[in-house]
Amino acid sequence: MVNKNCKSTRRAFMKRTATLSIAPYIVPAWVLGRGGDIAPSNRIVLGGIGIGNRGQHDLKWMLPNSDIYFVAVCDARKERREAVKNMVDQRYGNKDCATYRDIREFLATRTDIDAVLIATGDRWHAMASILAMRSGKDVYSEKPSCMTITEGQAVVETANRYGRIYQTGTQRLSEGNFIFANEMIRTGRLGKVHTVRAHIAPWDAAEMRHDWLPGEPEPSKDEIDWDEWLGPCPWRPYNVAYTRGAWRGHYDFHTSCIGEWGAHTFAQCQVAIGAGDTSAVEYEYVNNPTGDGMVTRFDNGIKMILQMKGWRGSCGVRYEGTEGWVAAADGYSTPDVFPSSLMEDYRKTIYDYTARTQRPLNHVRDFFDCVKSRRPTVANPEVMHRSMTTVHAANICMWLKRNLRYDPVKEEFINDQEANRLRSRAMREPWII
Amino acid sequence: MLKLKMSYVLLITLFLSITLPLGPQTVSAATSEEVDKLIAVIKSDAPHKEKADACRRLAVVGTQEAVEPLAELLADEKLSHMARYALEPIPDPAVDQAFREALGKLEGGPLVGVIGSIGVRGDGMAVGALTEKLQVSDLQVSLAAAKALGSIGTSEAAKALQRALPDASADNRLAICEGLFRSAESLGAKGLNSKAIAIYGQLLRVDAPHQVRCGALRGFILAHPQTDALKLLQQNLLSNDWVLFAGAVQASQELPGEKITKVLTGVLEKIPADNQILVIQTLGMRGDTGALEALFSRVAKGAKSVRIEALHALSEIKDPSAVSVFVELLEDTDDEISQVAQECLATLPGPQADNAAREMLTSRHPNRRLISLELIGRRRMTTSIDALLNAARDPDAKVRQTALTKIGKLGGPAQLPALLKLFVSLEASQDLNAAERALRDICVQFDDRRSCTANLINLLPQSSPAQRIALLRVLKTLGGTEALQAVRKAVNDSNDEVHSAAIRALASWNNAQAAPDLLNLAKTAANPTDRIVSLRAYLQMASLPDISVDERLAMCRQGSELIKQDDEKRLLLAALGGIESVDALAMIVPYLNESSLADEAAVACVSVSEKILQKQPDKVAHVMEEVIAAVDNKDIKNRAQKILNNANKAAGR
Repeated sequence: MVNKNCKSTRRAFMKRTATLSIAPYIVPAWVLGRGGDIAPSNRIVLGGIGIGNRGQHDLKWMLPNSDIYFVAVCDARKERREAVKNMVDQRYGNKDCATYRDIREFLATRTDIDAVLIATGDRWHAMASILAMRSGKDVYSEKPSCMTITEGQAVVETANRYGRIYQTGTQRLSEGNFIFANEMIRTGRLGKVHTVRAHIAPWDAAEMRHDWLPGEPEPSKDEIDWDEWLGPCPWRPYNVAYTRGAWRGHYDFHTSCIGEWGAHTFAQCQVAIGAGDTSAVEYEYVNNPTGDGMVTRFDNGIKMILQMKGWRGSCGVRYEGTEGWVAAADGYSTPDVFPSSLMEDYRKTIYDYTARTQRPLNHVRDFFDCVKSRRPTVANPEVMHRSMTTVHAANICMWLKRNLRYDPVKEEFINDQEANRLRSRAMREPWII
Repeated sequence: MLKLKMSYVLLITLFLSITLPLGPQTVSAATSEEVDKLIAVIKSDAPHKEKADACRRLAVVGTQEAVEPLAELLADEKLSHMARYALEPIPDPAVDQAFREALGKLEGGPLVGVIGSIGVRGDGMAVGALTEKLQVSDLQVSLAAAKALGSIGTSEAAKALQRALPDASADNRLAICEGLFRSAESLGAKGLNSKAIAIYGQLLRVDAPHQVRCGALRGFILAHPQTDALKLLQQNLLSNDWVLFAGAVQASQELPGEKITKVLTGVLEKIPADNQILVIQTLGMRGDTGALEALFSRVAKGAKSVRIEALHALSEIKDPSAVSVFVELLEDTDDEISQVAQECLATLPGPQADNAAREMLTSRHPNRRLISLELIGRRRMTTSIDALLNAARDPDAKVRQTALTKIGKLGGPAQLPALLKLFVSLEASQDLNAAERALRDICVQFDDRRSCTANLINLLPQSSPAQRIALLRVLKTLGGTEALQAVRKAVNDSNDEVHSAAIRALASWNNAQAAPDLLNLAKTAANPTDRIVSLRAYLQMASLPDISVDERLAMCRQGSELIKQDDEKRLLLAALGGIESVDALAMIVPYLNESSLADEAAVACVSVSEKILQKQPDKVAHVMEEVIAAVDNKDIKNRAQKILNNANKAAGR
């Protein structure tokens, strides 16, 4: 049998096919939906789900691509639906952008849409991605892309099951300074790498809020559909502040200071050390509110340390080897390196990366290219799920206040029932996967 | 004896605590007392929030004792979800029984939720009841039942879904398909491939959207024994239906083995160019050398997009046999093809590609030699330095200069003698510029900068003026006492250009070591331009943060005595503005009265005042009042006012 007795070989093979890549040159008509008909043009028809501030940032990045056409937005909030419609209509000079409140109606009726941008709050990222992929859409989802380990598994399964393209919004995997840092490891310029450091957000804490904000009268469903806004999360009384960003820091809606930036930096570190298809296996509890200084270890022996301070910008990573180190963060005009001679090949290194991988230094463009070529994205479901598993496991370590060991093959904590119970959360009906 | 035993136990305990900080542990932070308390809360008439919190905690610590009271909440519309939230992760069969019992009692949302939880727990004993739910009129219930049956994934569950599919309405067809996919995956994982194949076959035949057909074909192929999978793969790779073709390509990306590669290469001749590109892309991803011959023939002729894709695929496979193909295509009449071939050659690992790159350096054609140099550089062929040194004497100027650049990029301290020997033989200014860059690149790599500097200084007497100028610039980059002495000496060079280059080197010295020389030149140089250049550089050095405040103040005082033009006054103000001293403030204030400099002086005052506000509030306050009176610029006034307010506050006013 094809599937039998070749698990390790197949795993290695799948790793290769997921990692390597080549350039797209055609637009297969089937990816453009429409029941497999030959497409009249090579445009990707795009829709949006939950487009707020971050989503509009993404959309501004996406709209200038001449091969996409944005046609509809779905949001539980009228104000945001209309803001996106205005933005899109203004760009195209028409009034055609459709608006939807209900995600199920949106996905069921808009079979013309090939791909969706998902930029809801964290609580909806995985559920919306799964529903969209099940409806035949390719997905660009903002991060953190899942609230639990099992949600991440479901995203991977759904993408594989339906052959969907998925990119998580860890855009630094497509940015020059961070690519340079990763290439320093790949090309052996740092020698044997023993430690990587991942920036976690310098606000909030690992322990999150469980309180409720004071209840307020619910607006009409058309204004804000509170039930839809909550989605799979436990019910709580409406308070407008949640919908304006105050959901952050609440256990039901957020993934803590570790997930806020760890969603980026863990993915960067794991891809850099060749651990994009696994998760850390050991987590050492640190007795502070944030997880700052937590040491995690991968089965290749490399330590990843969560580090809150000591960076000059956001979402920093630092890789340390026997021959040198490299660090990059958003505020760095160029990476910090030692020895300084590493920087002599800065441009060449990035140029070689783009030549080797045929990937652009533009995260949304990589997604659109992959929608066309059907090759895995740079931040594909496996990278998302495995790095988010490390995020969730680090959070669970902090919540339980003890060291943990994790088996990334079985995807379970070793000898810790309480930690295993925290791998998932029952979803509120009818939002069940 | 007992004492010995105790010591042994202690030692073992100590050892384990040191070596197994993450060792196996049976953990339960909760006590039965805590669980009892949580149960009491959910049984009480406590507010919703308290009960929800108790459920949240029971999800982590709940035991069999909590199951019954939690199950009683399943019918409560408000708390049903939180009851499931607690129950779903409790690893006790009592939970499954509670959920099954609830199936017959609940309806609407709570029933949908319970069905979902049964699916998550994979309770095979619920299949019968869930099968009945497939047929109910409540759409949400039937959708949930389909997915739950799929998650349970037994043969019985799969059969229920297979029976339901033909009559499924448009509303629940996708959910049943989803359930069937889950079932097929589950059965396949248990080795029941024939059952999985039957399910995928049914999904392929049903009238369903493209993603279902694509996924079904992928699963259908993957679940088959290899011989059948190969036939199916071939058949569908040849399909005119894009959806089936895509499913086959996806399956081929997940299946290892040369035979799969052979099927892929076998269809290449028979499918349209667009489809070829997807197949070629897959061949590249597979990295199987069995695809080489087919790719070589695709590279040679046909649609340009196919040729380019084949080149990339060869590059991915990384086989040395592709080297000659890449080299040949460097001459292709299509520029894009030759460029891609060059990229492929640059990134292909192995000595064969290195040899090919080096061999091209002997070509009669300068363009070929230039490509060789680019490849040597991009491949970081550090063992080819001798070849580069030879190329630096090439008759073609562009080749020479490119070779020199690459020497700098690839060379190290060991190459300095050879490079210096080459350097003294060069005369053309562009050659010298390239050599200077290479020298700089190599010299900065020296741990012992003084020995490197000595080598350059020794060369100065025998060098031509143009060479001396280049050497002075490199010495400036290196810095240090010896280099400074050499540059200082060159200020008196009889050649005017060398003299000017020496002054420019001093003026851009990387620390204040050159400051006394510059001050002296500012005072005594015969040429007015030299005096101006020196004075301005001297004032700029007074801004360097690594000099003490007193030294910077002294430099400003000495420089101020020589100042004649506004531009120099501005440099002085910029330097004073960075000095944290009340004396600096005193030197700035007079410039507030010069209308052309008032704004710059005000900014400098504000800048200093911000730093010394707490130490000298009275003086700062006084100066800020002067600033406010002297300037019209609103931003500066606002900043000054803010400082004034703070100074008054600091002074206790």
